[in-house]
Amino acid sequence: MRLPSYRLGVILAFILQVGLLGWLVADRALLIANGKEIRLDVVPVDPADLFRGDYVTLTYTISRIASTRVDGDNDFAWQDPIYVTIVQDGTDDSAGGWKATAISHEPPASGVYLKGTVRDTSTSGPCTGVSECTVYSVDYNLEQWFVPEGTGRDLEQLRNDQKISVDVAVAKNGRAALKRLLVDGQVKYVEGLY
Amino acid sequence: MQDAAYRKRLADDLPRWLDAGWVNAGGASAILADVDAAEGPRRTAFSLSAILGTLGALLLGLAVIAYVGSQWEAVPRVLRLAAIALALLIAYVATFEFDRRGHRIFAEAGLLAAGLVYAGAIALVGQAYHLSGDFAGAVMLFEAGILGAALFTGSPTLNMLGLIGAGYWTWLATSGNGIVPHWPSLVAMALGVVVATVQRAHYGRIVAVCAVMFWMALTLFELGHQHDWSFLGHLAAFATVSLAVFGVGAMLAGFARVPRIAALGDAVLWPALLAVLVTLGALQTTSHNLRVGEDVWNVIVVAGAIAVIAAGIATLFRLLSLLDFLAMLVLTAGTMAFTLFHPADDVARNAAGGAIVIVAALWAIGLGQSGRHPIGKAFGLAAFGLEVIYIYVFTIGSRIDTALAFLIGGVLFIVLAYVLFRIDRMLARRAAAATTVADATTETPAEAAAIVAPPVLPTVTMAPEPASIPAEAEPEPSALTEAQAEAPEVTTPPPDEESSGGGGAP
Repeated sequence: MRLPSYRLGVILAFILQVGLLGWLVADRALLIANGKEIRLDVVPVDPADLFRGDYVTLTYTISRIASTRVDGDNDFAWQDPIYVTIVQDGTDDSAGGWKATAISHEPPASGVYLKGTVRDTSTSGPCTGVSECTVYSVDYNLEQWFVPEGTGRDLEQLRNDQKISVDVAVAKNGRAALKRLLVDGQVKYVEGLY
Repeated sequence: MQDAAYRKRLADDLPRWLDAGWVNAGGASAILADVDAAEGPRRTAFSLSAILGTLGALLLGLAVIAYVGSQWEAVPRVLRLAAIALALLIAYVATFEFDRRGHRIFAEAGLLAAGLVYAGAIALVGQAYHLSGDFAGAVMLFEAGILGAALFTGSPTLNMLGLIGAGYWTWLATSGNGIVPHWPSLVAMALGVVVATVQRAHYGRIVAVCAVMFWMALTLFELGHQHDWSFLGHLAAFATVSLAVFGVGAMLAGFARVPRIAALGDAVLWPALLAVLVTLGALQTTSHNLRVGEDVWNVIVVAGAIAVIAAGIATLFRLLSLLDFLAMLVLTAGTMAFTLFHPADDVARNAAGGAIVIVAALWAIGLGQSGRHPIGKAFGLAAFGLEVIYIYVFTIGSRIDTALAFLIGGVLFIVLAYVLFRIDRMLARRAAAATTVADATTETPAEAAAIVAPPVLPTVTMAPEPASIPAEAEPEPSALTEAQAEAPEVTTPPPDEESSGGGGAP
């Protein structure tokens, strides 16, 4: 039986849309399964500021980068893609303590790096008194952690001295996805593959 | 096209033609049946039930999106994903079933629901998998899914949804984040234009054209904001860009070899004409000069040049009449001159701006009168009326001045009317003369008239069959009766008719 083109188109449209959605999920699952796992430290914030409705806002030590403290390019404009090379003092990748060492427009040849977007540029803050210095705020698409409605209470009772960190899977091309959220080194939430 | 008015006019005219003996009773009912066959399903489908069905689908789709938005965390993530895929499947199965039973309009409603569910699905996946930071990626996914589905199904509804999404994207990026020009959303719109062109959907084309013009307007506005253009500069840029869009549309409209592109060009013309009238109307109200060294001038010059060149090409290929070309030239030059030599004096400024608007209004009326852009007449008359009210209300420097302005305007219009009337008569006479030439050279009269008659005067093409027009034809002074009256007087054709007879048809 030969279908009229409209109905055939309806079937193709469904396959296309489901395929795109499936690709979205599978792409992230592959990243989490295969990416290199690193632990990023979340900048201590007032717990009252942590919550934005149904998600947690996460700011990392590598979210604000002063150009004087890293190598590489220093001419980023707002909304530019940015590759941030990160290194860790110790040998244990999952021990945290990752710091930004270089920023560039193109992916670096080696090392662990994250791809982000310049959200803001400013010349204040750590730059005070230093000329030729810019502080870049960078988004890595890791800034929001959705929590089940009502279960965020645990996080809201965080004390200021408690330390939040996340485990992140990093792909070769610098894309990253959230894997786990930890409080004082204890796993609080885990992301499944699907 | 959903042209119920056309059927009504036919139904009104047919009895007259029947009486005149031009059609027989069988032919008349066959003509109406043919129109019903072509227009019927959609005409009846645009009844209340179809509108309710579409609105219902819209609400269902929005319900899914809202449901997703309201945090749906009680259910495990995989189940949520399955549920939203199921919702998508239901929408598509319903579409499939509606089409199988011949309810195309309900099928379109089903596709609209499916498109909205798809948007909701992207939002859900983003939220469930912590991907929502990547907004541009999500919009790209939406556009790919919707425009792809529009191409597969040929659905104008889905194409419009994609175009509206692209417009929203432009707005967020350009007005919200100040990214200008925002190319990704223009690419999405260009795809929408392509899909509408492939689909041959009338309203789809118009929405596509409006989307692109929306992009242009937002881009100009944001550029102006960032470069600190004056209000006058903004408006002059809008006006010249609108003229350029009209010129390009007129050029495209003549692609007779590719009817789809010609139809796209036609769809450009009236939104562009509306934009020209609105921006010129606003232009005259500005009271501040351009700032010194304002870089908006580059935009104005480039757009003005495109407008004139495009109109020139369109005129060369007889897609616009010489009068249209002159009108566009005057409007472009007038806009530039008005912007450059902005009169400081209120009365002078309103007089100069008003003159530009009235030229534009007359031009629009002329376009409408030529029968090619019927809506132009409505736009032009509305613009003319608003302009008269504006002049009356806002230029009361003194009542005597206003009265004088109207007096001069009235006299000018009557002179113009007389000149146009003479030109009409002259053209009609030439057309009639051409008919006699054509008869002599054994060409069929209809062909010869179609070749010689200028495209501005479609009524003249009816002239070649004087014998078939009954003697008791209504004695109104139309071009038709003029042509008959004058035809016998012409004995020798003007020499240039011979050469133009061999030229390409418009």
